[in-house]
Amino acid sequence: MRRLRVLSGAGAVLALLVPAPSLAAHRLHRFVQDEQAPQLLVRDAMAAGALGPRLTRPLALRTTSALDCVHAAHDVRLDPVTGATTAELALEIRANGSSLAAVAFTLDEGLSIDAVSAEARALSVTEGVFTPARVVQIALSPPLAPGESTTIHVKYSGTLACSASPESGAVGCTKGADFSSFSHRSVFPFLFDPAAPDDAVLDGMTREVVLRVPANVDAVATGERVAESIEGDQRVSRWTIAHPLSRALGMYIFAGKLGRAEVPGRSVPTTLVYPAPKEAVDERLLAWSAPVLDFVEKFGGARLPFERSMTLVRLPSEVPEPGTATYGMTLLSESYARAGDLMHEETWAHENAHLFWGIVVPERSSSESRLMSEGLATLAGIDYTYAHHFAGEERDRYLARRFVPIGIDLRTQAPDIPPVWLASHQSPPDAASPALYTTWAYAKTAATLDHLRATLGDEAFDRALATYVTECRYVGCGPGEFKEILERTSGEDLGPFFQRWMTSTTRPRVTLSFEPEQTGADVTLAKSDALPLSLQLFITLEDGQVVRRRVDLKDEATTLHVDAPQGVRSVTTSPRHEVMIDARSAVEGDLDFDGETDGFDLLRCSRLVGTSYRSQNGLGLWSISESFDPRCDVDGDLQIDDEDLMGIAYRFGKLRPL
Amino acid sequence: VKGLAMALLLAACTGGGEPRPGAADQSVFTPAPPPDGAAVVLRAAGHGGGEGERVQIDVVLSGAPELHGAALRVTFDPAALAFVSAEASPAWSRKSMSVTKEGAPGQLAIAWFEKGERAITAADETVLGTLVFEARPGKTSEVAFRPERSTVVDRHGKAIDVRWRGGTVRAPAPR
Repeated sequence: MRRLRVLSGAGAVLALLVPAPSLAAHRLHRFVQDEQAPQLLVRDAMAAGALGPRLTRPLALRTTSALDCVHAAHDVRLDPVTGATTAELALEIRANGSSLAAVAFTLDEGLSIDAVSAEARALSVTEGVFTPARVVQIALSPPLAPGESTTIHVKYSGTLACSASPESGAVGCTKGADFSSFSHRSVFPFLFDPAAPDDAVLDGMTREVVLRVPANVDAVATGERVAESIEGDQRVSRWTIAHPLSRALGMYIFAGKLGRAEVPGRSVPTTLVYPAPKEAVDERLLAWSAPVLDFVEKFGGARLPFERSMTLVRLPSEVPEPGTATYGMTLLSESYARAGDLMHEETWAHENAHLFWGIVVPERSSSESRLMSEGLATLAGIDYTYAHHFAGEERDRYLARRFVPIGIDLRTQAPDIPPVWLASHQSPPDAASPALYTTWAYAKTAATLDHLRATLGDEAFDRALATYVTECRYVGCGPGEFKEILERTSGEDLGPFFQRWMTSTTRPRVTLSFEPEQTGADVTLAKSDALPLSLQLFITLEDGQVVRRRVDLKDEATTLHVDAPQGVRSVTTSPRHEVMIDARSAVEGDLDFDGETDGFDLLRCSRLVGTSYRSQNGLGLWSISESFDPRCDVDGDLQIDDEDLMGIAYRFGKLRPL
Repeated sequence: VKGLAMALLLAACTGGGEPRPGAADQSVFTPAPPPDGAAVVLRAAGHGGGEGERVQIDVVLSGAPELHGAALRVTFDPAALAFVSAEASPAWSRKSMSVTKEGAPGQLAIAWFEKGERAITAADETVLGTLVFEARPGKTSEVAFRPERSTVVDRHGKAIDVRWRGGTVRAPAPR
């Protein structure tokens, strides 16, 4: 049962019966749930009238927030064992675009407001408890005029309750002597605009944190470490976020008996923090961290901007936080180790990649797209695994193999999810359905980006990405800016690409045939529409050598001659296009695109008889069923069986004349 | 469709490898010299007589401890030989599949394979199947593999490195 108390006005006590949704237990789903938890809590609390209907009604609801948080100075005195907290917040805000009548935030329900003040303004506070949060609205009189700024001083204190959400079970903090964790919906206020509570537009704020804990307690906070000292019976540490980032940026404190180990091989002091004592998993994380961070910087084409320090945190499984990245800090639950070292390391790479994608280079709006945050972080993780564990394999084949389950899931489990770049009238899959949201935010975006990269080529893609980092860091960009940068740096018109795969969902069929000659072949490609389409052709010569050639298809049929030093064995598209392009041989039953139906096609599938694809709800990137070959599943029932073989055999024996 | 045979393993002709001495009026298959090492070769399996001389040729693999399947492309002169059948041998399991078609004149596509991650043993000489042709009197034809269109694979789908050898069919002139 949800506890909802409106503490202002009549102090009415409402009770809502909310059935607990069935939540998927997978790791990625946990990321999604945790990432969205603060915003969902705000949405639910506001919808439930946590601030009281009488008070929110006069504030005209806007879709775009006028709240521009400029700077926050936090001074937090915390006993991590008891949860006793005394804190002050000096919040500089600005009215952006329209007048601003109020600012709001959520805190742990055990904390309450002691005092608020602002120069030349009267402030009034409305509080409501929406377990596990206290929702606080501070109304300004007079409202801030557009462009006007002020600083609000807030004192709050109490004892953290660290309650679980009745619906999701999520908690904002855990108290204790050994390892305690406090997120930005507990000790640090999660700031929002009560007139536009759903708006996730980047505003860009800097922060300073002074953290005071008992002297015998170790603690770390989000940000770059500035200083630490013992003052009387307190350990005082100072942290800074010097670059302007979203007000929704995750803010954390970890305290208790912390183990620390310096990550070797990084020029910026980088510390792995873990619940003492050090375990084998910490040694692995230490060994992975420098290669991961180096790779993240290589992928982003720039150095990470943290100059004073970085903090990497191994969260114990008792802490109900799956993991995330925030400013200069990456967190990951040790529970991910259960997926095996390979996937654990890739998840570590994914989370650290977010230091760029979503943190230093933020997305303008998470309700517009997750392409440039989750999509790039997922792609970076896959690339990292290839580079560090599978570099001996042919890269295109490896990447294609990683995306096989994604393609199947998109076609069979989630054919109706929205495109990766949403129009204003479209919404992402409801966060109440984490599996679909995960497929949309992580899998479809990464597959689309790799398809784009396979189309443009690595060099052009990398150049555009590096430019995107340079131009969009701390600013907040989206797919529109990415498209503009891609076109500017590559000189190509990517309108048709974005029309097909970014703002809509298509899988055009491309039919290939070729006539081999002594040296080379005449290749014909047909597609089902007139919209231009570019792709990479893979031309396999008789000696097995693969020649790659970019082709631009304008009309419905395109014929080209491919010169080669010898005969051509097969012609197909890059396997990395397969999620997004339905490439077929013009000869039905020709699975290997050699223009014939023979034993090679059957042997491709015969070993797979008896296998079936088990959808993992878009999680194929992480728990992969790589051996399932959709081309062998002739009848599309996600099982490869005798019927499929018979279907291939039925078309057997179409041969080129000698 | 002529030549299309798709069935679970059928009893195969696996007769002796050499023609009977003195059978000068019968069609003869003469294999090319066998190579060293792992190889797929053609070998005379026996011969028919009477109207329309029939020649039976075994497909023999050696040097493959583990064999999942074979994709073969066999060429011959259609003016000299008419394809009759290709049958998988009992070396294959009862769950195996056999598919054959003369997809173009003088060109056979053959697939003999197990299903799932099964394999048979062909470390020693193992007859994989038998091809049957009808020889036209007075004609001679090479029967050969197209190595670039033929393969044998293990249970992991990995191609087994083998050499390929065919042979020649000679049919006596009409009397």
